[in-house]
Amino acid sequence: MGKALAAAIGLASIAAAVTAPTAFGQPPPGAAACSGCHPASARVTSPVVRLAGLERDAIVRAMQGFRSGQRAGTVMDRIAKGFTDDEIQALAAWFAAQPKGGEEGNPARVPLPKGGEEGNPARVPLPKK
Amino acid sequence: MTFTRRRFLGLAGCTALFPAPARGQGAGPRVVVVGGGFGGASCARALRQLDPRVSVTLVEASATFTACPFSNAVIGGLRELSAQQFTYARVAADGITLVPAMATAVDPAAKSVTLADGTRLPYDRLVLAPGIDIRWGALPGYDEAAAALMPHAWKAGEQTLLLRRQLEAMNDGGLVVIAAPANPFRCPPGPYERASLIAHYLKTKKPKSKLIVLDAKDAFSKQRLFQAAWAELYPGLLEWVPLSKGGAVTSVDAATRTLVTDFGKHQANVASVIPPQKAGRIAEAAGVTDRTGWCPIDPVTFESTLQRGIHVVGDAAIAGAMPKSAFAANSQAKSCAAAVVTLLAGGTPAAPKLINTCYSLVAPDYGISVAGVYAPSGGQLADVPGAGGVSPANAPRATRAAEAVLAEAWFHTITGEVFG
Ligand SMILES: Cc1cc2nc3c(=O)[nH]c(=O)nc-3n(C[C@H](O)[C@H](O)[C@H](O)COP(=O)(O)OP(=O)(O)OC[C@H]3O[C@@H](n4cnc5c(N)ncnc54)[C@H](O)[C@@H]3O)c2cc1C
Repeated sequence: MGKALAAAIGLASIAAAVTAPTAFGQPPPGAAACSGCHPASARVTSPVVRLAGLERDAIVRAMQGFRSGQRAGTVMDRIAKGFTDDEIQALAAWFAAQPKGGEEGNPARVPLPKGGEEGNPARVPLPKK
Repeated sequence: MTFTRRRFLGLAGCTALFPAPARGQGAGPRVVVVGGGFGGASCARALRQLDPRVSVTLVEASATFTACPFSNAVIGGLRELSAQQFTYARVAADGITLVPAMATAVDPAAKSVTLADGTRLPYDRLVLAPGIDIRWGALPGYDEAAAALMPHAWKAGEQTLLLRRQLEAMNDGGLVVIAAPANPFRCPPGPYERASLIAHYLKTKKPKSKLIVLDAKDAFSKQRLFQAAWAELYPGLLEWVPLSKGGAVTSVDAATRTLVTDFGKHQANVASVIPPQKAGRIAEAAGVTDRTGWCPIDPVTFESTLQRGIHVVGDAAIAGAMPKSAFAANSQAKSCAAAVVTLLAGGTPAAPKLINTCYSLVAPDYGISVAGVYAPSGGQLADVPGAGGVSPANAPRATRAAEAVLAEAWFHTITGEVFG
């Protein structure tokens, strides 16, 4: 994760230069909070979409759709309402500038078990029955 | 004594649990993080990612982290405790120095943390993320001995298993009582999720039994959704008694499992008493708690308003409108890390924007959620107006089932991000 992130931070500072200025190449406000649900780590599998490497316009359209209610969401409709147009633009630019990580981005990936905690290597192994 | 070679050698003995950092840490600024839960471990990792020059030390008392989210499902027999447990091996592999010890004191003037064995760790900036401690004695009769009979199970682990075993041992037709505390406390919807999943257990395994929730409040998180679901799923089984109807527990007698209110006594077969809480005790030792027992912070930097150079994230902090949740702790930790890195570099941190989403299970296939977006306003972390709220009322069961799946996905993602 470290290298990918370092690269991402490098790329993002380029993105940041063309959008809202962020201090020290850091993610724009709100971006860090997304990985509570949208996995950022390549080691995490989830039914929830990864944001890194998505097209900028696709992110903007999705956020605006959730915000206006035109696009159905479970929680994103409620969350998108907390972001202004400028913030959405900055978030979209940031995520679009990051290399696609995780499953899609890694052809060598051995498929992880679906959904289960087995996918997390830090998990304490289950006792043998 | 400072962080000496002896201490490092001492630690080397634990390499199985705490492998040496994969990448060495240089002579950059030193940040010490106390507490390796959702707040602290997230913050340590975010610090390393944002600026690899920063040398990060994570002090955590326990070799294994046991997560509270989904621990109510363990109590209800839907999940094993091992699914809640995580090691720190991957955190260490990020180049974070792990110190498996209890921090016992902080000297804000000397900028050092003292560990249980007397070792001192110097820091340039300190992040405290110790979670909660129980205010023993705040509820008369409820002390540590009482907790062994009437488990709080508000720190996941042995207490969680104890409550589950008590439910398993109870005869059909028994009375289960949950006592819920006044605000603020860890996980505002947690007592009601617990009630739901215990009710589910009783309905499926011991249907003649009854569950009463004695509440020190008249209102609670996601209340309408919970109550509508209870009426649908657990009619006649689960009764909620609010403050105004005599719900506040004024004392307990653990030996007889009796809960006393102003209106009478309830003698339970199984009782889970969720007592009043405060910031983890190292916060008080560091002088960052106020009269409430929690920690006032600057909403941009998470720096204590009482001690310079000490930041507080997670349950211990007074985070304005943000609830004390794992999601919030993780969100705060990443914003705090950004602020710390910026401050160490001599910059001015930008105002953060934070998110919280808390799922609750009312039944294994029935999930509901509350979400919020937060930004600094008037010296507090305030709700961004117009955003957030709870799942729709009257949604079809398919929506509830989808939210139950998303709840599990959230747990999987957050624990993967924090520990994996
Ligand atoms: C039943 C229940 C259900 C919950 N469900 C949800 C949910 O669905 N979603 C959600 O978002 N949140 C949920 N929560 C809330 C969530 O568990 C907490 O908000 C979260 O753990 C807070 O993170 P933290 O980092 O502040 O504290 P913790 O995660 O508790 O971490 C604190 C860590 O600090 C360590 N520590 C403390 N003091 C010291 C010291 N002096 N020295 C060294 N180490 C120390 C502890 O050992 C611990 O590992 C739930 C809580 C409960 C009780």
